[in-house]
Amino acid sequence: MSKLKYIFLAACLLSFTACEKFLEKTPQGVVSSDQFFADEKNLDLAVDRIYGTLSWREYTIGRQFFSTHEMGGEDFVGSSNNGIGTTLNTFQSFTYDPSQGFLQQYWDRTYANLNFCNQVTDRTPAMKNRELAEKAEAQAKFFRAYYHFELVNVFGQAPLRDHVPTSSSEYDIPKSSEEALYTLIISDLEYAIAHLPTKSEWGTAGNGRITKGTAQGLLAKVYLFRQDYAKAQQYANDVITSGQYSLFNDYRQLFHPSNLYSSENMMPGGYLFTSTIWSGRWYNPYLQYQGVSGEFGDGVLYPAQALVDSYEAGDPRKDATILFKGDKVEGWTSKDANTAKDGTVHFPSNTNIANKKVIWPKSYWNNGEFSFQNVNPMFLRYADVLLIYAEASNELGQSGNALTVLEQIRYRARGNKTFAEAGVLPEITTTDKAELREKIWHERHIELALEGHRWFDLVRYNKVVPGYTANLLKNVYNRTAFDYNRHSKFPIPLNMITSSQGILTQSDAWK
Amino acid sequence: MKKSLFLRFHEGCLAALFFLCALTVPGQGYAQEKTVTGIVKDSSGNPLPGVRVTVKNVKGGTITTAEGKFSIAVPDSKGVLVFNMMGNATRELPVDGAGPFSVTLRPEAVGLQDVVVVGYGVQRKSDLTGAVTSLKAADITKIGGSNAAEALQGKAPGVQILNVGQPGNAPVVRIRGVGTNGDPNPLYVVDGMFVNDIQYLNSHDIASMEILKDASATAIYGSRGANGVILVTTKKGRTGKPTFNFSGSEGFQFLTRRYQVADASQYATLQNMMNGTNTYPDPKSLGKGTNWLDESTQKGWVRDYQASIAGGSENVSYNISGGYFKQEGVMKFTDYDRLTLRANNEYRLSKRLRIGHNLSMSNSNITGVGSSAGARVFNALVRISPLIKVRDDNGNFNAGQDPDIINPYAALYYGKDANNNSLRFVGNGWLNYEVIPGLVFRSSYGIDYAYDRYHYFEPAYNISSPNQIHANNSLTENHVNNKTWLWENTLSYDKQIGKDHHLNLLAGITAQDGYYNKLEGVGQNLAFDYPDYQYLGAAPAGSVSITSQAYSESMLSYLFRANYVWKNKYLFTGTFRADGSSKFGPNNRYGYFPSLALGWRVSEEDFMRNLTWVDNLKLRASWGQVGNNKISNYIAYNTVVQDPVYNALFNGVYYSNGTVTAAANPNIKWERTEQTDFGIEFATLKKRLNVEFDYFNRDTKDLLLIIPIPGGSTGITPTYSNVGSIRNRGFEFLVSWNDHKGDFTYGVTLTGSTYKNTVLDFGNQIISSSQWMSGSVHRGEKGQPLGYFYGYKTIGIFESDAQIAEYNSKNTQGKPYQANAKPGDLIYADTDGNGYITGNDQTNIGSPHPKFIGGLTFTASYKNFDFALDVMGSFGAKIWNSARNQINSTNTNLHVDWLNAWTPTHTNTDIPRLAANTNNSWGSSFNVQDGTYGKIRNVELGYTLNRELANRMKIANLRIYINLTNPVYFTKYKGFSPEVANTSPLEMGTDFSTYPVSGTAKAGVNLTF
Repeated sequence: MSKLKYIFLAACLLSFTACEKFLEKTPQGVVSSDQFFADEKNLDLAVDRIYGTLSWREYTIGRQFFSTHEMGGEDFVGSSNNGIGTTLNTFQSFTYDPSQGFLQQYWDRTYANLNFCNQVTDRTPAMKNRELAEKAEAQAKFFRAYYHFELVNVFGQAPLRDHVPTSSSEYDIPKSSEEALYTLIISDLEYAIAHLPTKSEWGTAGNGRITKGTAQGLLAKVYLFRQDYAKAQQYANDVITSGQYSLFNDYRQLFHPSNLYSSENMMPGGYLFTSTIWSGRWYNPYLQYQGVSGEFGDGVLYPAQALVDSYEAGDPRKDATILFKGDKVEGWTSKDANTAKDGTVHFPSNTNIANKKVIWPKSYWNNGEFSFQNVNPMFLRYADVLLIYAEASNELGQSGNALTVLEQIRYRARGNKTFAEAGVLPEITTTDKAELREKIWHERHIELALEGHRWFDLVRYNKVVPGYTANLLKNVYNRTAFDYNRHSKFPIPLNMITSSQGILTQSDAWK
Repeated sequence: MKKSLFLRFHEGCLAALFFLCALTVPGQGYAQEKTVTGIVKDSSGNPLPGVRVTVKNVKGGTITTAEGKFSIAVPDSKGVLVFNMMGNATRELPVDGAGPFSVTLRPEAVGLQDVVVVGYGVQRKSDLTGAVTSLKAADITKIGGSNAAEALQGKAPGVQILNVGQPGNAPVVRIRGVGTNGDPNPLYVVDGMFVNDIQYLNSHDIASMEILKDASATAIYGSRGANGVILVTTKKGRTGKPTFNFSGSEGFQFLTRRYQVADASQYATLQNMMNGTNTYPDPKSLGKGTNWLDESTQKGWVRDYQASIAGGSENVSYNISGGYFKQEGVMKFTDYDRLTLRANNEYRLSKRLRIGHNLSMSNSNITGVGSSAGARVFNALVRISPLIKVRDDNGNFNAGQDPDIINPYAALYYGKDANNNSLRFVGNGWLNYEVIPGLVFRSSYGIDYAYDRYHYFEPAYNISSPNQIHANNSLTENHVNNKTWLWENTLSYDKQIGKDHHLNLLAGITAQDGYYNKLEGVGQNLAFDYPDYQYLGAAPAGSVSITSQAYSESMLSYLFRANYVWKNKYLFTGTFRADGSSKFGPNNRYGYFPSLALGWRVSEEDFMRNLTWVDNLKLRASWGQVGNNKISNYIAYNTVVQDPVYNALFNGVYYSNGTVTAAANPNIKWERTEQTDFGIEFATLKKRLNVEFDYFNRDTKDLLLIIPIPGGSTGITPTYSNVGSIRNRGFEFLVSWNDHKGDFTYGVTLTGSTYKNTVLDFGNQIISSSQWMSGSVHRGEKGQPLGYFYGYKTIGIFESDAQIAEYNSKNTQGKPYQANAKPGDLIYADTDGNGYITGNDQTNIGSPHPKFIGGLTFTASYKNFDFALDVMGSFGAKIWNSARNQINSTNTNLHVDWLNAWTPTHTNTDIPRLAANTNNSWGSSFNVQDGTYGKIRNVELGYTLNRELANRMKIANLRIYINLTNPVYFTKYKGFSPEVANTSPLEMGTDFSTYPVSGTAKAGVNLTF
């Protein structure tokens, strides 16, 4: 018997080696990255992923965006009848803390997007097709700069990611200084400027792509935020003189859901309805959170009266931006029994206004649903670049240059009319630097209202005019909890600090 | 691809096995001996496996097979066979001829049957060193559910069963706690085939279920045994005249517990309170309003029929059965049906060679709750306004009062056409060859072939946006093929050496290969709504999207077991299994799983002889390591994700994308669970009282965890790695008393089990998890139970502004203690002691793990009547009741508890003030409730027809019965049912959208010809 056992054991041992191949299963239904990127053309698919995640639901067109880009300002107010509205209001009352979930989600998304950029930039150096490689690298680096710029504005110091971690030892890294982040942002944008096609070089098929002009415009903004006005003016001027972009002729129509690639749109975030549920492009939160509660959309947040009060008398942009009580929406039939069924919108008890930039006649509502409408977020537009140029010029003492472009903005605002023709929005003529600065800031506020610029600008203004923002929020808007040192940047999400165990540390103001 | 692999396998490693086969062929040296065969049965005619058969005054012997059969060599023609089995009177039988003999063993005393099925064999219970609980057929069919595992509830110590309300869904089964945050389901082995669930099985086909709990019992299953193993043995044929058996029952399901939701007048009162208005000046006038629960639920009909024919001749035995099961759910438009066929046959080709097969086929349908709004149904059911009618005057469905609250009836209605059809074949063919007496070679080849088709036509409707709107009609058509083969070759040797030594050895090689593929098509805008035209072809071009997926996996294993019994007192078991798996990284392809166990039958010692009142006393101890390999395939590979959701939009056209989103881990391996078990078995009072007690410590190490990447700044989705460990420690017991007084026979069995779950290490990370929309937060964290509830601890209610001011003075920074606090708000505990409330004050507010689960079974029979009562209870588990405090809109309906909400004039209450979106809706211990419950599991009363009367009617046996299952819960929990079954360990105990568990009342008949 014992002999048999030995033979059996020997057979087992033999078959160990013989059966090794039986256990090898190459992936099915999924593709390994080595195989995938062996074909260099597929790198473009990795670039597409960067674009595909830019305009993404809760991130840039949802609550993560509103909380980090708008709620600190005075233009929006959350509905207290709604859980998310109530939470958004904690960003207004400055009662949020590092455990706040939207901050964590925003952080996760931003770094996920940085990974998509680095997946491209890590692969381009070894590629044989240099044209393809450089074009891809330039696009990826632009977005890498864009997201690092977001991080520096939202969190201040933050971990810097310029490549995919090569091993787990690179997973947990400390914050980089704002200076280091800016160094990478600037060099990435310089590369992008040097290698990106212009808008006309991309052609119509490239509508929706970022361009050399986009990179120049963003770099101008980066320098403006660093108060390096000469460089801000220089890059803004590059955009202006390139002739690739111009102000769209109608302020209201600029935001039209079908106008995704206007002459003014430098960084399109167009979001088209797709009828498949869970395609991710079904209803979108940007619309769902807005609208008018009880009628269409949830009315999670509305424009604030403070914004309405900021408009100059007769500014046509007010009616293009705000839907007032009594206004009509073409094709709409109110759900309220006592409201006329002629397009009039019935407002709930807590507000009388809504964001009109996202409200269009019902004929544009896909499947007749407000929240199915396409949206047209512009993450950079030509008017912004003009205002950067104006502000930088004024700071450099070139008020003449500033006034010229400022008038371009106001001319379009009047419906392409002079003050004499329109009788509203008098031409700005002051050459006093401080006075003109106020005028330019006011113009930024109005022109770019509700588009996600206000909070970063307010934080920046306090550096230009010390105490400006604190005074505005505390004394004008009576938001006493505001503390510039603490609230000008958001805390690093608590879970990140906890999981890092000492390497990633909380910013001093939030310790 | 698959075929070529198979061929390679064929040529390569199995050569070794054929070599073995060849070796085992010689066996001719015993010419002067005579082999006699036969079958051993119990007093009711069922085959008895595990009976020791010896020849008087001759060493050695054999044990009857699972089918009760034996074959033994007798040295000369005048031997005497001795049949020995614990619990039964020993019988001697003079051999006269070659047989086959049919021997009946009578029970020596009332007691549990003494042979249990173990991995790759059977064993006498007295020789067992592992912790194994055995359930027989009668216990399994009483619970009329669709899944046999439901029968284990309260009956098997150490096993936690949570029923799932939706028809056709398997219950949640946990053995000895939860050792992983991955898939904690046990392994099911049905007649040797490894399956993930036993939903396809007809309960009436099951002869026994054995639950293997400790490492000594499970380690033979290696990398798949860590969550425990449930062995299912189906009924086999037996020699004799054909017996025809018919059983049938009819009954209905009902909602056991209702959620106490406000009616119309109460809702109006709550609305006035919540909004501080007088919107409804006279709430009473509104009456009851719409009872959404009544509208959406029904008494669901349940029917269960099975017919079988079993019998056998000298060389063939058979058991062929067919069954039909149909269950309507308590929610409207949900049901389940299943058709099963089985043929378990055995053929004796020669004295030494037997072959056989266990073939089963099932075809089942789960229907309903398919609508895209499906997940919201149960939440909306308790939040929709009773002032709204199901339909408006034109017959159209009304919208809920808030976009978040859908019309639950409409959701069920539009989900009615969702059909999940599952066609499954599981079967194996086997060969048993007795090389020499005691040495058996067994080869078994099995196939598990599942074909699932999901077909769902959802018409277009627009009730409310965005959660109950389906802009275009759509058809989803999924086809899934899942095919696995398993080839097992074992060699076992059983030998009695002298009087004192009994040896049983087992060795084997097994190989398994599985292939999965899925084809999914979704079409929209179909031309017609007609049922006969619901095919993807009816959708216009460009409105159909097709995707497919596939994976394959393989496993190669070597196993070995030795049982040794010395002097019938000292027991030793050692097992070893080596598992190679394609799932794991090339660096860690093989895992080795050993176990050791010792047993001491103290009662057999000489010094115990005088203690005649001790009928049995056995001590046993075991240690071993077992694995869990339940992770996705291809973890070791860096793969590209092409998610169409993130396609890029250029010039108005979407372009596809592909990139790397997740980390890969080439070193990935199985989880390793190390378990130690100490057990005592004791019988006294003429074996009428039996006690079994087990203590266990189960440490899962190298946990297959997806832990957050520290610092969270890589942007990469983390993947599995082997970090962390979880401990489950506890004890379990079973006490039974069986006796009879004249015609009155009765038995009582009490079972109980506990486990304490502690995360020992989680890679220094904390995992948070929340079921979608539920608001609950579960955590995995060192030093805490897995999946504990994380949130604010409430310490009372602010009674006044003065009290708030008092709290505000707790910190010196001038911060409010609790931002925006108002009188009537919950007070949260400042656990970090900084004087005010931040997210950091959240803490452990309850564990979803029960502290104790117990069951009590009482059975009695008197003359023709029999009665059974099962009671069970679960104590100390907490439940996160999501809907009760879900006040995120100002018009939600609520639990009637809120009528007792705090107001300035009503302060003596534990319910805070009623208002939407206040601090009170934060996740806090206010949402966590005690889930302790007791319930009547089952009551049955049966009547068996008089034998004479039966004989006159030419039937062998006729029994009729009535049965109630789950008729009542005793609990303080304020939800539907305190049995909240979530499969993920990190969602355990969250009651958000749980299909309520229902009760069943039925009457039935068993008939044998």
